[in-house]
Amino acid sequence: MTIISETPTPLLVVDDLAVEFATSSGAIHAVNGISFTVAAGETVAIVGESGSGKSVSALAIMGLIPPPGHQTNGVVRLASQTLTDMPDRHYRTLRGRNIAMIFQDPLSSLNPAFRVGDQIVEAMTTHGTAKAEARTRAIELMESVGIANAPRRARDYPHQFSGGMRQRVMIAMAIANRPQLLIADEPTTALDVTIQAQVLDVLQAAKKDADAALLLITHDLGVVAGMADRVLVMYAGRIIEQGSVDEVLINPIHPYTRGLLAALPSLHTNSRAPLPTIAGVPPNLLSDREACALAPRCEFAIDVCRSSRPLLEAVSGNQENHQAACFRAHDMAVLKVDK
Amino acid sequence: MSSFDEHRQIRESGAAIAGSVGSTALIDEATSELVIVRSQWRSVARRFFHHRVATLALLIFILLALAALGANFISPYDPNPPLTASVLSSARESPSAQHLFGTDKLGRDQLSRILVALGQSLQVGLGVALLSTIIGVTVGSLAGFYRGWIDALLMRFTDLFLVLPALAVLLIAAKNPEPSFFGLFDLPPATSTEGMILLLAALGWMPMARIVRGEYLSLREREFVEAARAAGAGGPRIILRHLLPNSVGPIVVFATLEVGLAILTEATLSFLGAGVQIPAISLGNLIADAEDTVGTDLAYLILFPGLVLFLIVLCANFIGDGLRDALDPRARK
Amino acid sequence: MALLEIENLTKDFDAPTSYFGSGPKRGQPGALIRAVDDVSLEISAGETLGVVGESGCGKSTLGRMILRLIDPTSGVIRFNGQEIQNLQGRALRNMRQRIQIVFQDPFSSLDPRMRVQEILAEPLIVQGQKRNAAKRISELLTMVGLDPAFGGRYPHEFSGGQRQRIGIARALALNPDLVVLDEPVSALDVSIQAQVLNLLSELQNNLGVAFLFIAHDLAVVHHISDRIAVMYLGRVIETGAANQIYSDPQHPYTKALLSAVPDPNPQKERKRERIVLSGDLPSSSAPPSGCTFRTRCWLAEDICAAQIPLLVMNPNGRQVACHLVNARSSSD
Repeated sequence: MTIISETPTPLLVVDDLAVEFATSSGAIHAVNGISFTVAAGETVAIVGESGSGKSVSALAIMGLIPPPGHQTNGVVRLASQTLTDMPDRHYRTLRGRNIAMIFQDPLSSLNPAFRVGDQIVEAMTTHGTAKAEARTRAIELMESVGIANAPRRARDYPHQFSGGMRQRVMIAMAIANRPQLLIADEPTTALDVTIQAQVLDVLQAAKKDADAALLLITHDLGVVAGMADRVLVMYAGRIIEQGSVDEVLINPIHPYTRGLLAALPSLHTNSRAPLPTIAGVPPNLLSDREACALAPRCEFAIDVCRSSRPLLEAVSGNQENHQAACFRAHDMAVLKVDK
Repeated sequence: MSSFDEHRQIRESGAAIAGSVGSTALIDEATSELVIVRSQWRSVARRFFHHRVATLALLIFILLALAALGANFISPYDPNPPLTASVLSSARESPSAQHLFGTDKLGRDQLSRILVALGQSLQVGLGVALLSTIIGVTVGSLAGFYRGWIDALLMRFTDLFLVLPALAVLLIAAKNPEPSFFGLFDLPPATSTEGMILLLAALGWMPMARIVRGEYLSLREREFVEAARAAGAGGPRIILRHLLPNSVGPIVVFATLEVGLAILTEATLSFLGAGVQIPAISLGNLIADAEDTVGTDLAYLILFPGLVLFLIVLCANFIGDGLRDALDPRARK
Repeated sequence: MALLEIENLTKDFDAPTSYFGSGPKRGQPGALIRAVDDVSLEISAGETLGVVGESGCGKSTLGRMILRLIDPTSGVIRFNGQEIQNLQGRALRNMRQRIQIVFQDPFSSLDPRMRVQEILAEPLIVQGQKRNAAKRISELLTMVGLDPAFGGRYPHEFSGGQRQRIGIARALALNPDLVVLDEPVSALDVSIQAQVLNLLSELQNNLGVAFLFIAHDLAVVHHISDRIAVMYLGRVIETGAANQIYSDPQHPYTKALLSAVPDPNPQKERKRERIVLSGDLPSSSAPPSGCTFRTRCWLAEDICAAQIPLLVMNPNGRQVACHLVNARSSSD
């Protein structure tokens, strides 16, 4: 199954990707055949709760699935290069140069024993930039992500930076080699809300500067609304709804997407009325039954939901911009959300 | 009351009030699938037995222990027979069907002697491990839980023991036939089994104290300990119900390693003549007796006690390794 | 009379001192970190007071002082009219029956070596209520929406949301009058978070227990709280009814905080007016003089550096610790 994107040659193509983790209780199907594309310069968000497979998908694109996990199916292509099955030696030269990743916890992704400036310089020299040139550019990069006194701060160690400043350093390092694709995995989850606002601005600007596409992994629908062009909603290792942010977040079709939005307390109303919830918990990923994974928790589930698996299909009259994997998509479209 | 009864009682009283408060939507999350997990000790055992070498080591260790326990029954000969002419006449016999490990320079059956020595080694090893664990856990618990001046005092005390030159202390102690605690009460002489256990434990508890203290310092910051304090629980309860059970892993592992270490130290001392004295038998003095046989036909006299010593210490260490992996799932590959 | 009254509560921690390096020496300026600074609050029986603020604002320290898990440096904590900040021994243990806590981390807050029934029995045993413990435990499990048959299981057999329910059951075991909830839902996924928030509201309605709800998620706090206190660098800078604070924030920091929360509706999100604060939180071992927020405040004037603004009821009926807001409202 291939998703046809509106852009002629998408930058990133993920086709039927599947990842399993081998455990003593059996294989955990973390990602179960997902397909999507990211166009050059586009921001695509993957949202989902813990265990939905969003982070594993990102690691699979980077070729960094931790053992005992392994990619069992699918192809990842970046600008006509096939990354799947690429020898590790070649993959390494791509990482950091063509694809760069920003992690949730900048403290553990920076080496505590080296000066921050040197780490940015190293990110560039590994990929062939001359040392002197890299030095100058490292300072420029630090300035561009809003670190005051960059020449002096470059000589500081990671622990001398606050959480927000560290994440700026990570962004500077990620765009150092002007990658085509930035992957940010929960980049602001560990940060306070006022700092999150600053860092998201910096990330947006850095992405524009580097002329990169951004794949944003997050659980925060507010961040998605502010940053992304398109959004993929994942549940139990599959994409269950995708489309432009406006379509998916304003007119969600899938009961899970609706449930997620409804379960968010609002900043503006304080009714103290019970929040609508999605009953139950996500399924365990050991079994992969031929059924809609949400069916046991879904108030709209009918017999067919329990006996076969829905595929992503265009939501009425919206071929490119909105697709959902729900047998009751048509009924849901009629049933408007009151949010 | 059996756990089954308890269970049923809880179930029944629960049913009586079910639905009085909890809403059905809430119960949904709870009743849907739970991850199937085995009980903790069973999964520890499963992981331990997954470790082939450790399992084999445990098996050998148990066999050796059984052999030592039953030495009186399985020993083919008296390990310390009166040195009659008939005994002396069978001296220096190479291993044979009659004497599996041969006979020593005085005609005594080496296998019977090794079995007795093995018992001695295991007694010292297990005794020292047990005693030093008790001392170490007590000191470490008090220091780690109460912190402040108690911690400072106990840790300086620990440091004091750590800087003692252990070998010198042991050798000096062995020269003192009737030791007493500053004249207050008598202590067993350092060359008896009991004395050796006391002495080695007194010189070996410090690492355990430090390990336990370190565990407590990090555990006591955990929120379940704060919750117990918030419920009004006092020091002894928090230590015994929360901190100690959660430190069992490192304590058990270190105690196991301590067994091997103590056996080795006892053998060393007896080899140097500062351990148990002839006619008592230890792997150490068996080896010392045969130290001049290396390279001769009599080398079996040093080979067999040496092998047994090697085997038992190795087993203790492998068991320790297996326990470490089994108790700390993170340490696995 | 309020259930809980806090007056001028302050907590200083020793900063990590250094014997050799450049750190502050004991007894010198900078050797103390003032985590909570002159905080006064009240909670009435059965109400929820939300405490919001970013990391390092002192909200968790405040909660732990109320429980006497941390001893205050100065100030008064009055519970049911009785001063509790100096209680010891039996009196302290008795007080602990009335105030309980639910923690943030559903993994570290339950002893991994204890069965659920042992965890729930602990407060009962410690407080000498062993009789009928089995009945009470199953009652508690039912109350938080768990099957009483689960009592024999260990914490690791439960999901995060279920563990948080067990933590709530433990806090309610002794029928407390006040429960301090320290970020009780911030480790949970959205769909589970909603379930736990609903449970808390339901429990409060049924049991009449008061909550001190500490969180950094402004929407969550708004949803559950009757009144709100906003903290910044150890001080309460604004307090009032939840709806009032969220619809018409007065303090510049409250305004910035609320404006920084992204809206999940993309159209509203694009139109959202944002105040992006510059810079980081100042260090609490060397806070700015006067108003601690002035270094990031776009309105700051000379007076802000000179005087500490007090949290006072201004003529508009709002309690705000800001020179400029209070001056403006009195000239209205």
